[in-house]
Amino acid sequence: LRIDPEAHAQLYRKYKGRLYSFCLRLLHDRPGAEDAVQNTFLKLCQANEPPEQPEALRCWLFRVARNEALMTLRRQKASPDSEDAGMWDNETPFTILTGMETREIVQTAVAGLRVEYREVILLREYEQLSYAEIADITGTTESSVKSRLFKARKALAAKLQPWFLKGER
Amino acid sequence: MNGCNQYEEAISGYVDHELDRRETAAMFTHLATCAACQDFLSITLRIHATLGTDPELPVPLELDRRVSMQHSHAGARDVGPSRRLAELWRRKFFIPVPAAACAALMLITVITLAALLWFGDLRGEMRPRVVHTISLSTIEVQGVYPQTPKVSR
Repeated sequence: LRIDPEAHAQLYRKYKGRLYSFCLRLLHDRPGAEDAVQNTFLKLCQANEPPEQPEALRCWLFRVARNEALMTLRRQKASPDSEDAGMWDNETPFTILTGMETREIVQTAVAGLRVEYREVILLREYEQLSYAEIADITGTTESSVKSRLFKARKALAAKLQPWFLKGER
Repeated sequence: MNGCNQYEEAISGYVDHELDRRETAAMFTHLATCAACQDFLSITLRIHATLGTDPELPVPLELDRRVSMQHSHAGARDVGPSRRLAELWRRKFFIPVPAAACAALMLITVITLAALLWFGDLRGEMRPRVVHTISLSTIEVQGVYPQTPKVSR
């Protein structure tokens, strides 16, 4: 092992909640999220030189967890998303949202986004990561992150507008 | 919200604190006259506020158990086939270099001695070992062992 057990246990205690929440919100699958987090910490054990700086280590952990989660998604899905597919993975009819609390409505709307939009929203809104950090984790550019965030928010706004603005019009 | 794409993108950047002063001023100038972009800003800020206060999801105890077990077994599970073979070789068949050199030297010595004895013996059989010459009054026997003695009168 290249990381001592006590350091590994500390890192697990520090990041397990955030990584598990991220993976579960990305996958909507508890066993898949558990596997992704477990494999992330297994890779931390095996890493030759895991980053020492906390910010770099956080990005490293999220990058590995994200890749593990996406591998699970690919195994679950027979066909990958095509480029011209819409913004939504699974559309939730507005009528289903009407009985929910605001938090549940927003969570449900985010959960319906396609994975490439959902992951940037999760990393930005839940983890408050910068565009540069999200680009590092997702393997894209900052401008791509900015563009995806904008498209995701526009789609969410369009979906949630009837609910959020119902008392204001 | 049509025709406002540029400003909507700016609103998304504003929510993330990614706009500079000039971009922020331009966005607010547009917002003053665009109800659709005001709605987009309002909804985006509410989504931001809702998700930002969302608590972490509870981690199952089973995951804690799996990760703590995995760390103790990670060393064993980490090794790939090549590393496993190397480890087996090191444990079972590894001989220190001086011992290997001594063994090789002894082997060479034994082979050399055996070869000398074997070929030396063969050559010895072909070579005349003893020449016997017996002079008698009537006959003379002269021979080379193991050849048949030549008898002359």
